[in-house]
Amino acid sequence: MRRNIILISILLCGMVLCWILYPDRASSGPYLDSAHGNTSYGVKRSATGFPADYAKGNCAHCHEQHASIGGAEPDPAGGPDKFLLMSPNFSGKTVIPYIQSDSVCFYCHYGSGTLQSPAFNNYSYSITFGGNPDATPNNIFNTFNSTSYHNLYDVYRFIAGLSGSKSFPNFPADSNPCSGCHNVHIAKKSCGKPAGSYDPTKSAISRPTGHDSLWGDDDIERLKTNFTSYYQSPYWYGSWNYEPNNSPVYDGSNLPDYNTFCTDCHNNTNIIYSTALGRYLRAIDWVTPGGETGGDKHGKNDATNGIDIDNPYASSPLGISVGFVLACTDCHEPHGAPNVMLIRQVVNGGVLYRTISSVTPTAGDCTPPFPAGSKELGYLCNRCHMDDADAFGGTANKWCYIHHESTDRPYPLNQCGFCHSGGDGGGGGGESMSCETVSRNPINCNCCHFHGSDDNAAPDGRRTNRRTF
Amino acid sequence: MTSKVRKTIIIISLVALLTVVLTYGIADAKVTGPCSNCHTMHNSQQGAHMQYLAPGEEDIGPKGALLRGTCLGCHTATDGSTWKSSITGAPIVFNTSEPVFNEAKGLAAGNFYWVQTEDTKGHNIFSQDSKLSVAPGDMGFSGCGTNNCHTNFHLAVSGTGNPALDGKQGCTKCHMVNTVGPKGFHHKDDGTGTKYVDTAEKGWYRFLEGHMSGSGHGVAGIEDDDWQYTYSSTDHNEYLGSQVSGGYGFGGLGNTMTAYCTGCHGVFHDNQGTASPWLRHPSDKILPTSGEYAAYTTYDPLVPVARPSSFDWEGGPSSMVSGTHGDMVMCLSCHRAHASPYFKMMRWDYRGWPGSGATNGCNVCHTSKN
Repeated sequence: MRRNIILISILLCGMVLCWILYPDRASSGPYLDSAHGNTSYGVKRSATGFPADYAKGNCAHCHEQHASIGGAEPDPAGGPDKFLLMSPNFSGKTVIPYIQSDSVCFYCHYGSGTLQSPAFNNYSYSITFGGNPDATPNNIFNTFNSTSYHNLYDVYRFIAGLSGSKSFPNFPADSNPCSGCHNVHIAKKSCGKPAGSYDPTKSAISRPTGHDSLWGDDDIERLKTNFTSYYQSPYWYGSWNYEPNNSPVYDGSNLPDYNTFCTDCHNNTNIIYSTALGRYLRAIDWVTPGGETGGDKHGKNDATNGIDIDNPYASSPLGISVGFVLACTDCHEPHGAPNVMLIRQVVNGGVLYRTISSVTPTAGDCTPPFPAGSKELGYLCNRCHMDDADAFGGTANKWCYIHHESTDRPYPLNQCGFCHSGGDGGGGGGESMSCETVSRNPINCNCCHFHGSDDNAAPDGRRTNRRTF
Repeated sequence: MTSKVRKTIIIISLVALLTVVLTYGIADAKVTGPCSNCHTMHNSQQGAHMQYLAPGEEDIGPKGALLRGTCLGCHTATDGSTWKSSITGAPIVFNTSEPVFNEAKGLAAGNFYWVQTEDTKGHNIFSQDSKLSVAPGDMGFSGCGTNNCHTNFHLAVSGTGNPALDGKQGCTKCHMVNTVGPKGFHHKDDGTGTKYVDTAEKGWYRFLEGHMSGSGHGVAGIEDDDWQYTYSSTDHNEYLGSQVSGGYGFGGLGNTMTAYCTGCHGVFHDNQGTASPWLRHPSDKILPTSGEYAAYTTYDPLVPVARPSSFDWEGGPSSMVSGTHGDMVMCLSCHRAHASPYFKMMRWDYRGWPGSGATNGCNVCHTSKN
């Protein structure tokens, strides 16, 4: 009898459950954890015709289901637009200056005139993760309208498979170029501004090969993991602490593996056209060791003999003196930069001495004997490498020591004329010389130093065939 | 078989039977019962009128077809707990107090209580909408007369030259549009219980005749026996949908719910596109079978889908959702037809999400966007 009562009770309970249970709701997803879906600082459109009472983070701030609300389209008008967006996804503008309507993202990631309420700032990598005390640019739009910028047209065409070649599936033909690196529905606010807000478990980026997940938010997606014991974080601006958050962490364990991220596109097989440069970008092999037959020495390849470097590398807590692997973002901005080639304004704890306005050699610059060439690139190099000022108190951004006196020097000091033009203090004849006394015209750094370079530009008989980047 | 086992089987059977009995409602679309429930010969009984008056109604005079009330007179309750008239069996679509009889706070199409709290929450059949002077998304059709359905609900249509349309007001601007008087539909015999209704002879689904697909068309679907007073993945209405290939206009969708809605709101999905990237949220588009959409597999009455003509319509409502089988997003996936507690007649608090912390129905399909 008791058994039957138990049985009946179980069945009745099941019956009640059947009555009261509602269908399963959707499982939790990542949008509410994203920056755009955040209920405190998520998307919030403030525009003519847009109701003020849509909750922060609501879909309607970016998407208009019927291209209208209450029978009329709020600003920005002119729809309907693809993906139900409030404006065209991307205008197809080939070069700067961009205007706000060139990308739907710019409607909010903009300075004065942003549709986001309240207005907010997004700073450059140098400011946010390098400690640059400068306060400008303070938004993504202005950052893109810089001397150099990640050309949105080129990015769009590349990820959509309309240009070049790549190793990941095409993005949809109407993609926003920003989506190559960001998934707006999952991107998080990792941030370093204001100071102390950096959270390495959050990430704003997604690999082009893995658009549906964040990159860098998990331990296994950090530089330390993928470049074990070879990544030394550069200094935070004006500090003995390190990027990306002015902390004592020095090994990249708190930094997304930007190398793996960037080389989804910028590797040694993809073909990427640059409208601004008017040529295909150089291939970048950041991962192949092997000495002079390997890839870039700033990547996983090693120095030939040694390197003359500044701190923190010279006395790295990693306990190594060669073999460092840099992160792409140690030198480059992701969106735009005041220097050419997206070179950061602040590198390894300090501001570049001068703006780098040009590195590309002009005709004849790289034909020996080399005419006087630009060494603006040196303003970047000497943030980590020892120039003559560092080596013996000589002239800043003069590079005689490294090239001619260091134990790792590739060229003798007393054969100036094979390569250099002009100058005094001897040369070409084998007489006793030193970098403290010799003066010759500089050679354009870019003749020998660029991604994938060797010293092929050097004259016959003086060429070392070393990897020179 | 031992007597103990036999006893156990009998008990299980009884409980199962009880389950069926308790969860299976009886409802007739064809009005049944004494004629006097709805009709009165003299509109007088012991000197008193016989009219069912909805709040605000004062006309106690006789009505056409000897009826005892207007639409609202029969389909209104002056409390928040009544979902079906105890006299006529009519579904209550207007409670004068907040509906509390189920979690949806209304039957399947919602409850007109909500439009009285805020115009944006429903089709205002009571008075001039304070926000709208024309149906949003109206295609701009002409020739529908003065005070036509696209303009308002509360005033009577005139000047159409169509005797079936002239005089239509309120509810009848959607229900029984092309019929003179309600008789033609209330007396149609479409069976009992939860059943498929797909012809004029059966009175169409919920008496929705016309509209975008034109004369001779209506809405086809499975009518839940209690109008979704109770609802679950297996207990709900079903709606016919039809995906049109080769571009999107909705005029030729046939007897679908979406075709009906777009009679007034056609622009909402005009030129929506044929595939992603959509220009407007697609309607009557088969759910993708991949990505986040593939996770919507169990029917959620909060976010209903339309079914293709190949659906097993006589088999009753299905608990399954599958793009592979042609299930579609449609207007009612997001909106309730009468009114809802939420802005724009949404089925959930879309405007307040995510701050409200409430369920966002968008996530039922967009499963990775919550």
